[in-house]
Amino acid sequence: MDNIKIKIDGQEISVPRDFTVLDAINHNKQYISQLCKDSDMKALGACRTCIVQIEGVRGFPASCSTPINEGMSIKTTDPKLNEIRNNVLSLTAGMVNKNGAQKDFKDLSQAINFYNADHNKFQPRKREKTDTSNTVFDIAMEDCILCGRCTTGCQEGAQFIGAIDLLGAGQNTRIGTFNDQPLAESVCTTCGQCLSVCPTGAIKKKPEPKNIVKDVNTTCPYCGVGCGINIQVDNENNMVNVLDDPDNKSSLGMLCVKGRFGYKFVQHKDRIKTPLIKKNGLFEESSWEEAIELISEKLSKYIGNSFATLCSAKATNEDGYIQQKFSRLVMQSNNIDHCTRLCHSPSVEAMLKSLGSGATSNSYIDYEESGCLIIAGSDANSNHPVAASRMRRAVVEKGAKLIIINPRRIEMCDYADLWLRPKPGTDVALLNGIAKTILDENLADENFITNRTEDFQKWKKIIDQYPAEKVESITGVKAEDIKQAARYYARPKFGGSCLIWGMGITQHTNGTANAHSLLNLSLLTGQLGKPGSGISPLRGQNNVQGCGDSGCLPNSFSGYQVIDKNTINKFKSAWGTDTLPEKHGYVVTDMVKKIEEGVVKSMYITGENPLLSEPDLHHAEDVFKQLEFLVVQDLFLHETAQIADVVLPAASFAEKDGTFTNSERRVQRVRKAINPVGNSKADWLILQEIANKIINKLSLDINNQFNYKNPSEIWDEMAMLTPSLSGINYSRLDAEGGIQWPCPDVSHPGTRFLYEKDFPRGSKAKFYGYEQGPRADEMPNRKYPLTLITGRVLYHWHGGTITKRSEYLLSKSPELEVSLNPKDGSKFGIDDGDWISVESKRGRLEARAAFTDKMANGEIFVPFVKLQDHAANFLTNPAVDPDSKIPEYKVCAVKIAKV
Amino acid sequence: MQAKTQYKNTEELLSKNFFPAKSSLLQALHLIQKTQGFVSEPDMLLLSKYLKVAKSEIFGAITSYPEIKTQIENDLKRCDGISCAINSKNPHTKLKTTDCKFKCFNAPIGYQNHKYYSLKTSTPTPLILEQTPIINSNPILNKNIVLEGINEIKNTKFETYNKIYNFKAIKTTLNHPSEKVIDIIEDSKLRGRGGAYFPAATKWKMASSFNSIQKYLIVNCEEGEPGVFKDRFIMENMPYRLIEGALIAAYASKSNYLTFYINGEAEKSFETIKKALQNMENNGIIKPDKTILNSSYKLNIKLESGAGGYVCGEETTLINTMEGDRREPRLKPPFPTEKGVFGVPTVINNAETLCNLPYIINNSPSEFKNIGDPNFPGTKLLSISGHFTQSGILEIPMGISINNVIENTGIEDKKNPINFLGIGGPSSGILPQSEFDTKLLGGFLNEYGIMLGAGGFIGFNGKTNPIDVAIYLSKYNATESCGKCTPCREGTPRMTELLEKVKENPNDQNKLQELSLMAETINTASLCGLGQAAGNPVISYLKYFHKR
Repeated sequence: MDNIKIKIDGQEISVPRDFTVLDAINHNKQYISQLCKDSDMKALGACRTCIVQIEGVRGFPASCSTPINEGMSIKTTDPKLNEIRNNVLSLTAGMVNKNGAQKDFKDLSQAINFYNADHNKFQPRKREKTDTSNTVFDIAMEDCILCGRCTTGCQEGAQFIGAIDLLGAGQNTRIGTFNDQPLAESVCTTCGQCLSVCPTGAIKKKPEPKNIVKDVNTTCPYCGVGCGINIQVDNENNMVNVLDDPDNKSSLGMLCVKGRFGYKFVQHKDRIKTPLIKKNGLFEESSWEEAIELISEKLSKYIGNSFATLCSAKATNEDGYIQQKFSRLVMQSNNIDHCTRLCHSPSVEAMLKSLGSGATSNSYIDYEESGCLIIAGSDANSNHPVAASRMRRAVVEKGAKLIIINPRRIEMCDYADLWLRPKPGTDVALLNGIAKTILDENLADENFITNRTEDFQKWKKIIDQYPAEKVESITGVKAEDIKQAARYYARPKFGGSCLIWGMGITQHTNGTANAHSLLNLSLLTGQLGKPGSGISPLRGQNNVQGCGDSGCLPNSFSGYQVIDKNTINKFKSAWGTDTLPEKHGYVVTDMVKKIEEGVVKSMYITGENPLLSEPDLHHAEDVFKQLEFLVVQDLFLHETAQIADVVLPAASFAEKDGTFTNSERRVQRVRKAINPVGNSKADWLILQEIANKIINKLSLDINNQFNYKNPSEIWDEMAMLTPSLSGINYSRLDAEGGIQWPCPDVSHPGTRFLYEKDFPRGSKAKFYGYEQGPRADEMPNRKYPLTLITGRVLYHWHGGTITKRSEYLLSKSPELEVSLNPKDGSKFGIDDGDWISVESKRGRLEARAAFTDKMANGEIFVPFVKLQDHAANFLTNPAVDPDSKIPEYKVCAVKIAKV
Repeated sequence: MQAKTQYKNTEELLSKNFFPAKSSLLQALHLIQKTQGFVSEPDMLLLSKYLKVAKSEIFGAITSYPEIKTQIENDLKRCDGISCAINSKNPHTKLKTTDCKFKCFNAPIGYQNHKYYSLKTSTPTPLILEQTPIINSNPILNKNIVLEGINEIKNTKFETYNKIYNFKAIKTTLNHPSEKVIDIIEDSKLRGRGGAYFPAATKWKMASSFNSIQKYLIVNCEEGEPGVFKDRFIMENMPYRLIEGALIAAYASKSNYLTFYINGEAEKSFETIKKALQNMENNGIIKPDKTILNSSYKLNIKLESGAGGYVCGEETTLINTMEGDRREPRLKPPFPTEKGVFGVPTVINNAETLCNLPYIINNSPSEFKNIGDPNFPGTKLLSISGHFTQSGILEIPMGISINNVIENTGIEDKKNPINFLGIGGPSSGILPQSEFDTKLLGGFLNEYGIMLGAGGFIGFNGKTNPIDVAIYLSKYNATESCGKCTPCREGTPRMTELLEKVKENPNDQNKLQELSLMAETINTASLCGLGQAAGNPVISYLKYFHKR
């Protein structure tokens, strides 16, 4: 964009041609009041306080909505202009003044003070009542100037939620919800976007943060979307607030309720503050020296295959890299895994086989450029709220077609063109049916199939068995809807098509078959490797992508360098050793079996809680108790930590430096905001100390491999050994923001989407055909007549270990709720709001019944958060998918009764 | 007039009539309201689901549309238009009020459930004479342009119009390239008659200069300012001339969509235009394949009911309501001619403007220019009401003086002469008898905010206190403010308060100064054209009437 010259208050400046007058004034670093203009949103032109005088123009136009012209002469001050602007400010103050009481109205007060306007010129006028219904923030209409920033943020300006809008007209204009109901009864998700853009503080957190002395840009610790956050710290080293980061390329200034309000776990009183050693069945506090001495002495006895470690997808890439290096180099064990096994291993497995890489192929921006989105088995609104906002933008603003595949009527169905509601466990048939239509109606991309895929004919033989009418009888989805979905997906009106999926696809005994069936669709239609297309398994943990990238896997080093002769030699020479374990290690689910068999005897678990996340928890607990020595390193004394021999206090994301890699492969910085809580330390630091102790104790021939001074050094080693990460370093991340791998060299800008020309497995991707197998390992029966579907809720993350220690989130969702259809309720003598029991043949929980028409008859939903000792995984079935070993969390048979 | 329910439920009503998109909102609301008298909460929820628009946004839009009711309103109300207000009599003064119903020529009137009543007597009697009177313009105008042949064609029969005019103007137009049509109209110096007097041809030229598969021509028949009823007159008495004019404008601006946006309460107007279009289809003027006559020019023609309210006359507000958004103006630029409704080039022309086109095409630009003022050629329809002896529609040549109009048409009661005039509606102001030599032209008639506007012409005799009219207009602007921008939303009620204080104490210099600054603030800092004119009644009052 070329620059043009304009004059502001007589001073000539050169600014980009597409600037508005306000942009130019701001660019020139001159103060001008601008109450309704948010720097990230389009001009609203409502507050009329940024008015200026422009030579040759009548009246005083608002600078926010006036484009500049070559040679334009602008005045920001002039006696008449000042008189008018101050009168507008006085009118604005008249909306909020309280008969002279002094109060800080933020941007408004700043403007009034700057221009010396009269705050009390007008008597206060009548306003609506403050809405205090939301437990997290209030909307105080008496402090509101009706600028419209909050409603824009809630709608098309950012989040596409639409809980609030401007209502009424004239002086009755107000901020409100549908039918003027309290905010808490609206579709508000408490994302806080409204609060973040409010210029007067009318929307304010309870209580308001005070004494802020610094703020630190870092990355959100919740889901895999990887939003940028800004932590505000007060004068006593307390995290008191979290803001969004408008410059973050993944979140674009948005956050969800967890990211913005879910930070209180960091300094919660339950944090483990010092190492704990179990003596005579009870934990006793110990010094770091004592704990490390004990651990190294014990672990020295389990060098080799009897040792296994679980890494944390919540920890940094650097933590993960050190943990796998420790396990392979010091403990000589490839028994390394992390929670991906329990969420996306079928996706990773299928993608590795078909394409050669287990990563998301595209970026969030591709959603916004696509003409069709399929969201399968993912409640993105609850689990990846900010990515979901970008999906809604695609639909609402860009006009993309949206197809939802889900047995539950999730919120996103409100935006869908098609909602396919298959019977649980029939996804393979459904997806094969879509493929069959694409073939029958000649909607396939012949060129792509010929040039870039293999085994098409073999696959087609299977697909031919799935005409839509037959699929209707298997899945319950209407044949016409199946066909329409095929047309939308194969031939989007513009851009490409995106496939997005979550645990509803993977956590089944046919999880890998499901994932392959999705991938086949993208290969059939060539919907990957170009803008606006691609495949996205949405990642659940903030760093589940990075945990795998950094090598926390039983079969590969960092960057998915599969363990074979070549890579072993490469790492031997890099790490200066003669011996590295050669056999691929055990995955999580196998580890459990191997403990049972007495093979694995000792474990080191970081930031994971298998005794909440494993299926069939009663059984899992019995197994883990068989371990001879168990170290748990975490923030809280959770279920697994309770049975450990030693518990080590780990520092949280806010207390350390490092990097996270999000769902779109973007490596982003994590920065220390507060001092570590108690005596806690960063994971890498703890592991480094233990490694050195064991090396010493056993006089191992390992030199200077654990002498990192800071995480940046760890990153540099990993990047050097990992081709896809080679071009990324901390100084680039600090300067440019997040970078998406592959990034092979420092001049490479990073990669938005993969597979433009070929695939990691070679020039061709491979079709893998699957028949529809049994729907699930366990089907409803006379004794357990209902199908239990598990998933998550917006206000809790995962098992709830951290969200239930974040009071804002707990206040939004304090009890476990069972969603069920009212018809099922009356069938089993249950009323809405009753306290009920849910029982499978493995266990029982109690929860609150919540009637909803979103559930089909015969299906109930329980989120897998553990609240008040009740958790869905007491009920779930440990049966696994044969290919990926993921347990069938999603469905099992249960019965319900009023307690 | 509640239509018989022909739908099982709202769901069926929606799926049978409307495309599931936000832009269907306003028309769907009108149909629901017509069917059952109001729009209920369950209806709103269904709309949200069907149109895929967030519930709050549906509610936000509905609460901004004054003509959409969320409960049944059955009581008799008195019209609060200015003519009715000044003629209001006991016992009716105690009735609840409703916005101007544009029957100013029958003032004072009442309104109940789609029916009009005369409130001239103590018992409300149903209004029989609904026909708008035409005031004889012979003494001041040689030749009618807009009202040409009105006495013949006002029967609204296709045959009559066809026999006299034969749709010759559109036939001629279709034989020209559109550029040529623009040239002709440019030559005629025709300016918009909605109030802004923008050159008609320039608007078309701008819209036709942008590349777009779709282009809209919208006929603005929203007509929302009290005391102006000429567009209703046009629609109800000369629908074919209006449609012919619209076809010419659509062709000239290269539009392929033509929408008549008609005030939601002007049900008779809507029905008349609808019937006229049907007759034109039946008689081969508009073909089944949407082409016009024997040309290849295709046009999608639609009628829509407006959202109501004065501010809908503002073109970006009108566009917002067509898209199902709140009744609020948009920021300019972009101007509608570049990005209007649905983001495509859009021309919005007032109904009266278009009624000039057949005359210009059938005769010539120079014949048109023979009438009226050299810079503002042609005529203007005035809506005469208030204390004149006759109320109704009067066509005048542009550029004649107010005195000329009043004296030569004999509409003044010499015993109770007109003392001052409300001219051009609430965006303009009030003018004293001493200034009646002012010539009637487009744009500002003086530097005190007086405009001809859409041609409201309300006479007040000595019984009316000018400050009451200023207060009335100021209050009206406050009520009609859409609420989007601060100076208009906050300023107009404060301005009314100040006026009331000045009425109590005419010598309070502080208040007078505040009042003057307030009017100036609203005029210079507001967002849309209506806000930017809302201070004018006060400015003219202070100039001409306030006695210090």
